[in-house]
Amino acid sequence: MARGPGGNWDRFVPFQFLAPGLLVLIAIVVYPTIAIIQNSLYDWNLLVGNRRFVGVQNYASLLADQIFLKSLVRTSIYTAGVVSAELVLGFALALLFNRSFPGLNVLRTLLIAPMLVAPVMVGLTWRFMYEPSIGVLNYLLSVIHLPGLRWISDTATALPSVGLADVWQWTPFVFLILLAGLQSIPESIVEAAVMDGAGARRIIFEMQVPLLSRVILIVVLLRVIDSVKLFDLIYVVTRGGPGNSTYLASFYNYVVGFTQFQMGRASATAFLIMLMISVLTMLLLRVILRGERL
Amino acid sequence: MEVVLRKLSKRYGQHPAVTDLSLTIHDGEFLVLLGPSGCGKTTTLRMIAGLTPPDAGDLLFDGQRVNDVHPSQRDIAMVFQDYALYPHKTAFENLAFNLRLRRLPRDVIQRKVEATADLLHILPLLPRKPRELSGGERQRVALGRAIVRDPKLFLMDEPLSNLDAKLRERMRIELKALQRRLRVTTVYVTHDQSEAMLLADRVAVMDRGYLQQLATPHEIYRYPRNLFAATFIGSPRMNLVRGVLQRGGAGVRFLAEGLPSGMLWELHLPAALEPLVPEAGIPVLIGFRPESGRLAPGWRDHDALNLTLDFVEPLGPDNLLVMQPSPGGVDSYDHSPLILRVSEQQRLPADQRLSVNLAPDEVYLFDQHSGEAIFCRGRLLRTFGGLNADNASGHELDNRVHDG
Amino acid sequence: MTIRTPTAALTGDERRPGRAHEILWLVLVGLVVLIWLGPVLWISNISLKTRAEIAVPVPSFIFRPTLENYAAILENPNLVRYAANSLIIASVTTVITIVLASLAAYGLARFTFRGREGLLTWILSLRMMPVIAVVVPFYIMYQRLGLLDTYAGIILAYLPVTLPFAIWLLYSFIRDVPVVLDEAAMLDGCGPWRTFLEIVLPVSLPSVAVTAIFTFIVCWNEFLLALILTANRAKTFAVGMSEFVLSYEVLWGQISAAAMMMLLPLLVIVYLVQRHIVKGMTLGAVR
Repeated sequence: MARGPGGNWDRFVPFQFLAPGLLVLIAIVVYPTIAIIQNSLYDWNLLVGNRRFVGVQNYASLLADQIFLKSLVRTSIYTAGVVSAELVLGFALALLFNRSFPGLNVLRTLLIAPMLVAPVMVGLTWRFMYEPSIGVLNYLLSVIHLPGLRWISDTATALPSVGLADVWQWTPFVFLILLAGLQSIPESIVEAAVMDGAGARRIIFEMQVPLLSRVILIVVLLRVIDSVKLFDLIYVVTRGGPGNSTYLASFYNYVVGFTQFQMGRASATAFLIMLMISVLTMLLLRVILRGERL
Repeated sequence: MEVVLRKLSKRYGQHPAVTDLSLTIHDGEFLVLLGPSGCGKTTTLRMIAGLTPPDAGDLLFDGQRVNDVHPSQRDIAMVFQDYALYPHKTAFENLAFNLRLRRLPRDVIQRKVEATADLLHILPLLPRKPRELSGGERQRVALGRAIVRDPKLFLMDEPLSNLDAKLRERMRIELKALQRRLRVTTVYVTHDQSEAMLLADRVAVMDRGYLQQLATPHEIYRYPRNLFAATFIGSPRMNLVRGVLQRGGAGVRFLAEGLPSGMLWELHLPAALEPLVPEAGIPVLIGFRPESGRLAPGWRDHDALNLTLDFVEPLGPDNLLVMQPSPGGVDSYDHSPLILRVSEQQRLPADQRLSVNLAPDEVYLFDQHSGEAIFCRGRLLRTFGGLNADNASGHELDNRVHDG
Repeated sequence: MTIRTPTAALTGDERRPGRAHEILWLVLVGLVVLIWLGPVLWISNISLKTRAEIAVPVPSFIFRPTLENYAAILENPNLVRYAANSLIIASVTTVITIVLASLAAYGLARFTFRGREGLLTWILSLRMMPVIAVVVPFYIMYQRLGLLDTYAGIILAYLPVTLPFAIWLLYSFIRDVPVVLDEAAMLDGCGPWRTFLEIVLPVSLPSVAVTAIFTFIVCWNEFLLALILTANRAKTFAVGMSEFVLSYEVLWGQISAAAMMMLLPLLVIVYLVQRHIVKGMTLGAVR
């Protein structure tokens, strides 16, 4: 028995609507998951063609693989850095623009654009800006009499360079969401605090931040998940180099699977990444859906 | 079409919305479901429509059980409170929708829609979309959508409540005339008792999921079954005074509570009633409507209610006299002020003291514990402590007083 | 202009915001605009320069603009083909996604049945699925089935990315359509399919349009799946662009021209849908 507008319906009725989409989803989502798990139990080089059952050996070797472990650590550091930067900047922007002024729509359009431009384009743009001799960043540095940096050719600065492009692209996202959150706080609360004698810092940290805690948490989790999935930027800006100093989790997975064509190991890596993201997703869903009536 | 509700019940989680509701709606009748918000009237309407399936009970259309018939098959038209017009269709298309679904020929549809639009004076509005119409115009389109279908039953869920007062009054009268002409069975939901009184052939008063009384407006006004019905109908609300009924010299006497010397009031109740009043007396509530009674300046010793005027609310042709609670004077049942409605030509005493004299056929008597009406305007409805079957089929009456 | 905002309350003076504060605010706004507009301006600048002008370490802002980069892009047969591929793939994927997702969203939004909440949660979680976890098994499977480098293959591979998002977005939009409309339609004699097609869908047309636009953009921008699962025939524009960097001399002028050409229609689209962005991005979690 299903309930819908107009009373009770046969359970088949909602099923009719759900079936096409659901069947497709199940086929193309459940299947890969099963396939990954299955394939991860084999040692299988696609170029050579032999397929040998090895059980959990792929996982064991992964967990002992220095490059993989380093990429995980790197992913965590990268994520922490990028997300904090975006949070602070985004919140600052939201505070700054929490008012109505002529051109708000234009500004919003401008700031939304980086999110919707293809990451490839963003990557290419910043790659160009990072060019040591003809790129604009080193030029700007020279204008203020600072030496140019090696940006993506230096192992120390390569990852932060990628991070900078990432922050540029996604801070507007954080900004927009926090702005929406700020604007949903009734003005009267802030005014009451001002009349009680609270200064700006107190208002921000003791009122606005706590009231926005749920939104902030959602944004942070979304961005963390995105960072773990990050691929496009790395491929276009540094291609993982120099060396493997910009190998993040997903990129490493790509290297194993599509430069070395080790499908077994790649499947195991993909499975581990999936697990990590599942945990994060469950956290995220818990926060989003807390108290929400679906 | 005749509609029969038999012991319909519906609950939402723990909250019972409608309990054991039984009533019969006659063919061509204009029945109003009246009650405060939360009383279950809208739920009942939706159960008749089939939008909300009942948990228990039967619904019969012309003798056929329709519980399992889908709303789209019931040949019912409904006017929703916020009209529910299809926003992406013109007024014409809104009216024509059902006719189109029934595959009527296009010229027939054209004719019917235009005829209905003409009836409701919305012909020029037909090509417009709902967002281009005013509230009153939308309401007429919603009405037209129901009428053009020529259904077996009209359901209306407070269709006038979103209109401003003047328009509302006008539409009420038009609606009544319309229904008279079309002679279609109509069930109408409202919380506005004056609307109910005007429109209804019969009124079903509901409270907290139970039917309180089913009767003509006249009946309910004069012979309410209980305190709830008595206080819900009539504005301003009926005045209520607490006291004790005693056997006395010339008949039965009413002793109002709170008076040091006791306000004695000889009530001429039917002789049959006298033996039923026990020796010790029985606690009752006396009710009288604001428009009843004769006023005299100054206070009197007996057979009248002595009151002190607090202030006057002018209503145009009438004045509302709002009374003070007076020490040494009679107080109302729930300490809300007693109110009288008099002609604006009535002269008022300077010292603000007046007395009201009530005739026996202006008096309502209620059992103080159960809230049931015993004696109304000269008619005995039931005996004390006993239940008398009446024309309503609900039970568990309220001793609740509705705050008008 | 009286600014009645918390920030104004913070500065303490509502009627006449301090001159210094206003100037500071404007400077900050200018900085923000510069940071986010800067790269765009830079790229547009480069797109109008010759190769020689680009190779100079000191960029010039006064120069004679040339359209040779734009011409090169438009005359590059491969690039045009890639763009056409992306267009076809994105369009077909969007259509399929919208059809499937709107049906599913209606079923989820209007009917209550056992397992409904779990289903919604599951679909929501799919939005987070890492693409790499889709790419690896699909690549293996497509190799066997010969679906590599085909339209059908890439479109199919895009659906797990687009469907969850579209279903959730449309679900939250359809929920906002008042149920009374469905009820009125049913009383008028509509069954559930008719109600959906004639009433609910037309009324939510703007929402469907927004969802379609988002879906299209996602497909157009998608990189990893296209990189792995397409080669020559079905290569998308995004992958084609990334290859500009593979050649030994990077044609920055042309890349910039291509970027500008993609940016302008995007800005128009963004201006149209900007109100709905927040809802879409946070899956309705922030109202």
